[in-house]
Amino acid sequence: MSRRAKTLILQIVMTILVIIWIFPIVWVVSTSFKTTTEMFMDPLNLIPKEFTWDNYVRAWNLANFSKYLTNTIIYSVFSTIIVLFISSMSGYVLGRYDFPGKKLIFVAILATILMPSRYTFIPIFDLVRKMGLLNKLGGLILVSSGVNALYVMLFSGYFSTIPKSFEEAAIMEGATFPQIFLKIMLPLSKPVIGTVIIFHFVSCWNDFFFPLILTLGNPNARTLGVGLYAFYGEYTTDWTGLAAALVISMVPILIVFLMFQKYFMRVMAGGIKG
Amino acid sequence: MIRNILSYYERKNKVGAVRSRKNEYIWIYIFLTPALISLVLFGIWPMIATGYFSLFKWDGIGWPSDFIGLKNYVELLKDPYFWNAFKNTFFYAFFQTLIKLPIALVLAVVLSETLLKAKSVYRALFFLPVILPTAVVSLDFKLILNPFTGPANKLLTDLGIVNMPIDWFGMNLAMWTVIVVSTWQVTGRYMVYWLSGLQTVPRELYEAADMDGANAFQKFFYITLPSLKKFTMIIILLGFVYALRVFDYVKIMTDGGPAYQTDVVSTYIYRLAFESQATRLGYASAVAFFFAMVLLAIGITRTITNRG
Repeated sequence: MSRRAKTLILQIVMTILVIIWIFPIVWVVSTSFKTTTEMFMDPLNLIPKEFTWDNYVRAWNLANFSKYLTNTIIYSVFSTIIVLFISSMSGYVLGRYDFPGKKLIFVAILATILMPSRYTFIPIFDLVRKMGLLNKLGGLILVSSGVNALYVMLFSGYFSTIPKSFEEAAIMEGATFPQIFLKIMLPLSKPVIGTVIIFHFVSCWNDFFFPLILTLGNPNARTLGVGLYAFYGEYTTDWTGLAAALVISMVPILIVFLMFQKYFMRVMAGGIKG
Repeated sequence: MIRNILSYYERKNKVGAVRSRKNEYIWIYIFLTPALISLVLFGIWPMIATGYFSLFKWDGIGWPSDFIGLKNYVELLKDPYFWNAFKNTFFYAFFQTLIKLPIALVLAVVLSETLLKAKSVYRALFFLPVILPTAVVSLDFKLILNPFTGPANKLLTDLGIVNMPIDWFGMNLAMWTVIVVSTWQVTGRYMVYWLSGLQTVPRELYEAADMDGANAFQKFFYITLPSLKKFTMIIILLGFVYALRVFDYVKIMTDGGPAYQTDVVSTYIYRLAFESQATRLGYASAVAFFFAMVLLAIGITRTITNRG
C-alpha cells in the first residue's frame, strides 16, 4: 500500500472515531434547540426541524440558571485570585531563598497531594459551619482556594531558574523585599500565572463535591453543577430544558479550552512527571 | 590605620548583612503565612480531625463529647453496607483503569503516527470531554441512555439489535454504565499522559526497526511497550488512585442504586453525614478515616514506585 493510501485510510478511520467520540456533546447541543415533541419523536436527528430558544428561556429564568452562572463565575474568579496570591508568594520564597524550616514546609505542602481530601470533608464542613460561611459562596471560595502543591511547585520551580542578577540591581537601588517580588519577579512569571489561572478556573468550574455539600441548605448559593443536579431532581421530565441547562454550563468552559487548548494539554502532560 | 578603617567597614558590613538577613527572614515568613494557614486548615487539620471525630458518637452539633473509643471501627468491620461500598469502589476503579489506559494508549500511538495529518485537531477533540464538568457529563448520559426517550435505545431498536429497550441504569448493568461513562470523560487525560511518555522513547529505535522492515504492530510490541515499562507502572497507579475518588458520577447518575449495586465509599459517607435520619458524623468519620488510610497507603506506594 502506498503512503498516500495509508494516510487516507487512517484519516477516514480517525475522523469516524472522533465523530462518535464527541457525539454526546453534539447531541446535547442539538437537543437543546428542539421542541419536547421532536425530542421524543426523533431523538437521533441532529438538526432540529423546528428550531426553538424556549428551552434556554426556561432554564435561564425558571430554573434559575442565570443565578447559578453568576455564582459559578464569582466563585471561580475569586478562588483563582486567592490561589494565585497564596501560591505565587509561597512559591517565590521556597524557590529563591534558604531559611530554617524550608524543607519541612516543602514536604508538608507536597504531602497534600497524597491527602484524599474527598474523604476528609467532615472537619472541613464543620470548620466552614463554625466560621458562619456554610451555604454562602464565601465558604466555597475559601475551601476551594486551599494550598495546592502543583501550583506552588510550578511557581517555585520557575522562580528558582531566574538568575540572581535580576534582583541585585534592584537591591542596590534600595528596593524592599515585597517591591522586588511585585515589580520584578511577579511580572517575569507570567507563563506560570497563566497556567495556574486556566487550570484552577477550570477545576473550580467543574467541581461538584464541595459546592454540593457546602450549599445544601441554600439554593441561591448553588453553582452550575449543583444547579444541574437539582434541576434534574425537580423537573424530571423537562429533558430539553435540561439539555439547554447543560449547554449553558459547558459553553464558557469550552470557550476557555478552545482559546488555550495547546497550552492546557501541555501543562496537563507535565503533571505526570512531577 | 588603614587596616583599622578596613576592619571597621568589614564589621559594619557584617552587621548590615546580619540585619538584612533578619529582615529577609521576616519577609520570607510573612510570604509563607497565607500558604501555611491554608495548609493547616485544609490540609493537615481535616486528616487529624477525621481521625479524632471517629472516636466519638457525634450528631454534628457542637463539639464531639461522647467518647466511645474504637467502637465505630468495630461497627465498621461488621457493616455490610460499608464492605459493599468498599468492594464497589475497587471494582469501579479496577475496571475503569483497565479500560481507559489501553484505549488512551492506542489513541496516543495513533495520534503520534507520522502519516496522520492534523494530529492536533484529533488530539483536542479526543481530549474535549476531560474539560467538561462531571455534572454535565453525568446528566448528558442520563438523557442519552434514558430507556424510553434516549437516542441510544432508539438507535439500537431501529437497527434491530435489541427488541426491548435496555435499562442502562437497571440491575446488574448500572455499575458498568457508570464505568463506561466516566471512562469516556477521563480517557483524554490519559491519552495526554501517554503522549508525553511516548516522547521519551528514542527515535533511533524506530528508525532502526524501519530499516529492518518492522511493521507498526511489531514496533509497538517490541519497542514502544518495553520502553515505557516504568512509565506504565506510574500511570496505572495514578489512574487507579484517581478512580478511587469516585463520587460525582455515582451520586448524579444512580445515587448508589439500584439496590446499592453502585454505592461507593464516598456516597456511603455522604449518606451517613447528610441523609440518614440521625446524622452520624462520628461513624461517618470512622469510615472516612479508614478509607483515607487505605488511599494514603496506595498513594505512598505510588510515590515510592515513582522514585524507584
